[in-house]
Amino acid sequence: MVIKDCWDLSESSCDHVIHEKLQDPTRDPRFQDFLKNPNNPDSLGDASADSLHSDKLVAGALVEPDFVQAFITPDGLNPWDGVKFLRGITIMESYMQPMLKGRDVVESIQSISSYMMAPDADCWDESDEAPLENRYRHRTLFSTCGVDILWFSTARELFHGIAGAIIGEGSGSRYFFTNFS
Amino acid sequence: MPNKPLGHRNGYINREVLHGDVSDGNTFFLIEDFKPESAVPSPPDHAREDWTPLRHGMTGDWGSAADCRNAGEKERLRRTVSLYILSGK
Repeated sequence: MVIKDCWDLSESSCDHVIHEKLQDPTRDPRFQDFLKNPNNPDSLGDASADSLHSDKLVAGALVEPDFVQAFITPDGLNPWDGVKFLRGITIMESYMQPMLKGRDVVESIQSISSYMMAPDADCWDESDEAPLENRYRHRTLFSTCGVDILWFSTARELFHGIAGAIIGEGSGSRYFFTNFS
Repeated sequence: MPNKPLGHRNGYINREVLHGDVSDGNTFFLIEDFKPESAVPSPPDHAREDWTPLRHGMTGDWGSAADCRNAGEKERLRRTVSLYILSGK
């Protein structure tokens, strides 16, 4: 388990909000296609285009929850199921916003400074420029542990990584430039 | 390691979330646990001479990503690599 403890600029722009989206299979365009036309096998897309997780797995798991279990092949250390947790993305377990002790207020620079100062002190003048940049505390718990990518063990592992990166970036960027250029 | 770009690809194509900092600092090898033997794996007994761990790669620090369904967020995402890479050093 890994705990990430951050002071973010806003309450909504933080790791757990993004990870909830990353772990939401209903955002998958393939699933939307499947819902529109469940009887058309083409609506599941081309599974061979991404051999590491199947489009059919995504659609099937959402229609029938036990479906996914039949298709997951554990290979030792593989935490991704290809449906909720997509391969190559860190897995969020849970999250929280710490509260000020004894108060029903989330921890932020503003709430902490107000708590520390005397009630009549002008510590956070809203009418003028804020003396401190306000930030909000978020804690996110991840089930995936990692070490720096530069800790490669052998030259072969490094070359394997570079080759994979070129292939992977190729498939990703083709889609990107086709849609946004 | 191939999982690293695959993570970006999966995030963008399958969730419409684009990462805001593709750099080595946000790229990790997946390990089983925070133990020395996980972080620096040793070859198994009687390993071949060309043995290598070939660990899974993954992308972390998605807090800087943007939801591409949200036009405002997408607009705010001014870069997708680290400032270090943009500086050309």
